[in-house]
Amino acid sequence: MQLWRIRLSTIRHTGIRVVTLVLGLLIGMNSMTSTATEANKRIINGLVRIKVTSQRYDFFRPWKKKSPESREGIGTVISRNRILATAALIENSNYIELNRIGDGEKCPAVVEQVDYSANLAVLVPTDPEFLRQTRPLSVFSRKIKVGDSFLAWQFEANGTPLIADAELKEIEVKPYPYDFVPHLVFRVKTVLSQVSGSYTLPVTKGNKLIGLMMGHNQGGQTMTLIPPPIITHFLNDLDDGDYDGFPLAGFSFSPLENKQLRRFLEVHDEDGGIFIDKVRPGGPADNAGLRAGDVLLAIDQHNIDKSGQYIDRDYGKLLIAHLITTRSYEGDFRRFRIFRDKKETVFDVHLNSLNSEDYPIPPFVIDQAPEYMIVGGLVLRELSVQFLKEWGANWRTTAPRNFQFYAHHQWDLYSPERKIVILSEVLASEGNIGYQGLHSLVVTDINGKKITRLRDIPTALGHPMDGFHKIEFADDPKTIYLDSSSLERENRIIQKRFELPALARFNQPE
Amino acid sequence: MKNIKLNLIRGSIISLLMVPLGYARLDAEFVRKSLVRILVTSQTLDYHAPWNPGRIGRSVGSGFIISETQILTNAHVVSNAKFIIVDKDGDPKKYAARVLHIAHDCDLAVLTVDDPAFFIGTNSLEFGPIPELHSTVTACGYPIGGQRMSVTRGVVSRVEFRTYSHSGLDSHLTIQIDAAINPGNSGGPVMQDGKVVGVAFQGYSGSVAQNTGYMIPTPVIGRFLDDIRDTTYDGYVELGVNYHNLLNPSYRARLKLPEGPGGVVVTTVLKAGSAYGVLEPGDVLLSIDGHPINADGHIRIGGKYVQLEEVVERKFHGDEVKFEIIRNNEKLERNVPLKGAWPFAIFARDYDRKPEFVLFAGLLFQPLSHNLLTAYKNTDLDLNHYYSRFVSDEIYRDHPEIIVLSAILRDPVNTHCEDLVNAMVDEVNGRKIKTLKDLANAFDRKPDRYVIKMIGKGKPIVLELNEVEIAQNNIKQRYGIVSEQFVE
Repeated sequence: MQLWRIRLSTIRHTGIRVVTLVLGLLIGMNSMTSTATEANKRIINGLVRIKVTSQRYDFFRPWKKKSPESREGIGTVISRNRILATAALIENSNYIELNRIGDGEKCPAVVEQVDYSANLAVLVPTDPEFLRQTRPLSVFSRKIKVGDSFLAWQFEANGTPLIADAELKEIEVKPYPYDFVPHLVFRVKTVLSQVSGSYTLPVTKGNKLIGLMMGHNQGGQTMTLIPPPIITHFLNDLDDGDYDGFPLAGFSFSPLENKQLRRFLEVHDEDGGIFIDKVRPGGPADNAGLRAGDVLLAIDQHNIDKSGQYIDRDYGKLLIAHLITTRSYEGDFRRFRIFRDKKETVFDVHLNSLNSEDYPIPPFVIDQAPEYMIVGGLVLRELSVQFLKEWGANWRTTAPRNFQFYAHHQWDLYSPERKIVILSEVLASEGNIGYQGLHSLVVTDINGKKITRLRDIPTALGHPMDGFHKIEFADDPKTIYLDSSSLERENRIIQKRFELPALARFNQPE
Repeated sequence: MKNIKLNLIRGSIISLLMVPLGYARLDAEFVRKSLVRILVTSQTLDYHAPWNPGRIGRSVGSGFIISETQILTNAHVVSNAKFIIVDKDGDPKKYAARVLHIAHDCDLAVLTVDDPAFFIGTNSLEFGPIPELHSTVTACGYPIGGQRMSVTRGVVSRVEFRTYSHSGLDSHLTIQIDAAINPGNSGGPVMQDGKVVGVAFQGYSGSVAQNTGYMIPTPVIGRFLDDIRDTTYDGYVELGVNYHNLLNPSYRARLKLPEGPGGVVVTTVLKAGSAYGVLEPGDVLLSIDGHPINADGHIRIGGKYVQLEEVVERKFHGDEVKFEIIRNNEKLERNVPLKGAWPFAIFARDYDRKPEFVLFAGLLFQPLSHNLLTAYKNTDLDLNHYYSRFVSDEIYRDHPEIIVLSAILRDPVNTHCEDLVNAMVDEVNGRKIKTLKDLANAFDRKPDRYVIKMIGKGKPIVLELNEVEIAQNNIKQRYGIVSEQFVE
């Protein structure tokens, strides 16, 4: 194995010797496959191709879906007739098809559970017999260290395996793509082949699953893996009945490395500890009594150093996020040792997960149609980071900056129960002449009633004032009016003109 | 206004014949005797190392003589100038010039030459009106560095309000012409019927648009010359009112507005502006100084439609502007005494002023400004938010200057403070910091330690006096700091 990989990379750089090398390669391959087959058959038997047709909602025009996209990846068969894949593979899917690698047999599948925060999903084939000839892989549970070598699995369209060596380079805790909550990540060095269907790739050690590829950087020849602790947490949570998700403590911190600051706070240098910057209102830390300005010294028996790391029993120094989100489960109590006003105190923090929909401004809205309401051509909806991401890869520079600021500071600005209703654009009609340039405005009141979620709007519109609907915004033009007597007629015209399937969408019954 | 100079006609007789003769007439010799080439050595401001004198650059522009001792040009031709030389077509002698008045908000400046010999044999040009659309004008100047006068002709394509890119903030009346205007044309006169109808000042670079040049029209020039008559330039006044159109029939019906096309509704009255306390949100503005206001905010002055701001544009500090308004269904008249509004200056590009800063324990503190944000290409979400809301959210009341920790010169005294770069100073040892001077004063006191709290950040910066004293000299030497603060 090792031998041909070196040759493969030689071919890339030297044009002339390609012919002889390819010959050597072919000869090598014949002998290698016979031995490789026996050793790897066990793993191949636990893998299945997943083909997904998905369709995103258009967050600019929330009444329609975008054109369908196809994605392919390799899923891992796990216990109880199920398949593990990344959430990114199956997001917004219309149809999921499993494709057996050996014989190409096909079978539709459905999602049993997905956790976007952890970027993981479990699928189930609709035909319970489909996976009978496969053998589930279990998740690697022994110690892993930097330098360990793994195998990354790709397949050609005809089912020929392309196995790449991979070496673990780094174990770190960093934000996951959907809600930016940090979780454990393995960074691995490998050279992948350019074959289609590499959206999810399994990576193995021995005959066990060591991770799923989350991202790949061809230039740097590195990929990031969702490692065993995240997969195991996800599956354990799922198998104990209700799925709860990864718990959070609800605070943010800064390192406390500056000696002068430590002396000012009178924290002993050998005590370590981090500075708590913010505590999410109504979150676990807040409920337990933690405050901004506290110094967090330890969680249970785990001392925290000045940069926010503890000693993990398996991986050594890791950010405490791992201890909270992955070494704990929903509902666990963790004892926080706090230094406040020059004294040590303990607080028992009851850890709790936070779903995207529980944020005032949700970090993602996936697999569900965005809610909206069109009132006299005004397109009204709740603000989400998903909406901001519609501006594309550079959304942090191109999406409206006021909305980005609100999203970034949402816990400081808004109470947890509310949402932010915005006017995203105006669909032109006779009745809204003069308002047609309005966009990116926060709606505060309609007819004198506070608007704290989209659902408040139908009720508020039931009480026009003197024959007009008064709509108020946080910024200029502050107030506009719509004639209530002609609103229904206007709405019908707009619906017909712009071919809107509906003037509003509310996902759950009121 | 004698005969048409041949330079202009040669090679283009056909196009000349197609243009009414009266419009095309230019006495090039007359203009030549007024046109001046301006050679400038400038020093740009260095916000990254504000203790340094800045980079030296050289540029060329145009100008023209408007009186026995004065030359008019663009402000941007002579901004940040350290040394100015002027010369004339056909006269090899170079004369040292100096800036008498400079107005960055309307991109105009008046220079003088102390040597009276310079003005001998020259002409002063006179100003004309706003030229008609599609009438022909001639731009004169020294584009692309040539030593001889260049003349290009075009027609007036558009008269509109436009941002003057020199300050990046101020919008004034602007005339778009399709004559080729190139770097070096800046400050040169644009002529019609022997009179100056504008000063060429900006164009598009690259492939955005072709054959579009812009000139400053005579109402803006006239206002500038009037303003400096008392020897100081006061600048523009600021009404401080945001308004919204009243084109919507429902809105008009709700306000029970009388039949007719006019009126706009006031949405915000900024505390920093002149109208605060006189106009209120919800007021409908019907007319300004007797000019009826259309529902889209336009008025008619001298046969041309312009935004209602044009009336305020032409006024001076201490003048009044009269509004006819409707408030609570009642027709009222309100006079607004006009003044400038300093908080808006944060949004304008700054010139000629040395960047202010305080360097303390390797921490570089600078007041938030347009220049600072662009110099650091800063995209920090919070910083940009405070900047954009500085006037509308009245942030200037608590923080007339927003003091930013813009950079750190690394030293043991300031290790582990990097995560607070771009943060804004709130208080030092419990005292609110409102200006850079406050900060400088706070550092001049000698407490045992300084506790610097930043806006919206939990973690403070703590500096112990003895550590700072050890560090200051090291930092000065290592980073070649010539001065540790500049506070005006």
